[in-house]
Amino acid sequence: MSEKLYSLLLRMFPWDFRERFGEESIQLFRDRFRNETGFCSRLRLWIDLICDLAVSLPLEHVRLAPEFAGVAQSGASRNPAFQILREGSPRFGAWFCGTAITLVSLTGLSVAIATVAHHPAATPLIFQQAYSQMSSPQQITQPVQNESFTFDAAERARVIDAVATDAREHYGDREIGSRVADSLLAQERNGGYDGIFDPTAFADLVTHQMQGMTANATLMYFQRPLPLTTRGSPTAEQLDLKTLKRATIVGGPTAGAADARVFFRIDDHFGMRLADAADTRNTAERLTETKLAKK
Amino acid sequence: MPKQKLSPLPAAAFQILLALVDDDLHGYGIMRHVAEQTGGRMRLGPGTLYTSVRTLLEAKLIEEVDSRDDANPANERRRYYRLTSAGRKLARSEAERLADLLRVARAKKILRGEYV
Repeated sequence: MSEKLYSLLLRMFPWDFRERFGEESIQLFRDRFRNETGFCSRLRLWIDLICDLAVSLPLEHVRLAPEFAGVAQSGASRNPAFQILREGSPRFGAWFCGTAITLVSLTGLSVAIATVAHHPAATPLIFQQAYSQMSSPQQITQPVQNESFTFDAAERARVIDAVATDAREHYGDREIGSRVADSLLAQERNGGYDGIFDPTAFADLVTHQMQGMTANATLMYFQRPLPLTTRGSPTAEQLDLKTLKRATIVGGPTAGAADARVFFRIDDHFGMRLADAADTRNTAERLTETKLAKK
Repeated sequence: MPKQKLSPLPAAAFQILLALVDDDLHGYGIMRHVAEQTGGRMRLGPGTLYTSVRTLLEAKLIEEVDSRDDANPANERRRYYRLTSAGRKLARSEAERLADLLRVARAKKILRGEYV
């Protein structure tokens, strides 16, 4: 079986090589296969053979091709891209052409990947992937309720609506922001969040979805929905370091402080959205530094 | 068909010439000798081995001898290769060139361990 496989691989060599050395090559394979027993030895044998094919196959075909033969014999090739390495070191022109072609190819590939990743058609997959990474929503099967709020379908819808509005109006890249908003709203309409009663899981899911669509790791929503409608700067008590977990800026890296919407996590069930603070980020940092100094 | 240059002598070709210094060998024998000479670092596959063999044959540095019946149960007939006088001369000059390089390296005291 192995010999047959190697015989098939040998067919990739030019006809004259097979005619002259085909039988000997198979004999060599047979000898090695007979003497190199055991899993590791056989694995090394196949690795050697594949590497050998990768190196010698192109050289044999170049050797056979008359157009390349002319280039090799002439020595000084007029087309540096086809200079044969075995005949000598590549000239500067060959290096330049090879580098230019490589850079153009990589750039084109990057643009293609970025285009596909941001295409709306890719969004459902991102949703699926993000959702599959989340803790199972079935762990909490009933709406969470405490003295502050009830996390139910209505609350989910309100959160999605608010996050979508923020993304559409304040994200640095308006097109991406609109796309994020449309995707979140579509998910909500299609029942994509039905059955999620765990506020933490819901916040994580929305965060992952937004990060997936924007490729912006600073974009987060981690709040329980209440009180999204709260406005104004947080109090010192509300920004206590023990409860200040993460902050998210829905505005992208190009948005100014005035446009940023910052969510602070206050405790397990309470969050604050700072919609109207003129210098939100500096305020938060100043308060944070104050707290650190006091400690 | 273009001929492969042998100046400077490629490593695989030099190792094959060295392997054939003491005795005529077939392909697997050459491969085994080269592996022993290089401490296992160079294991010639069929493609590399026989492209080098063809180049050495064309340059008349080795020659093919009559096939022999190997002393094995399968009684396989194999092609053996022998070093020609030109091949021996080239192998010697290449070895001397490498020895000169080694002499210079030793004089500059850049070698360590068993190569000092």
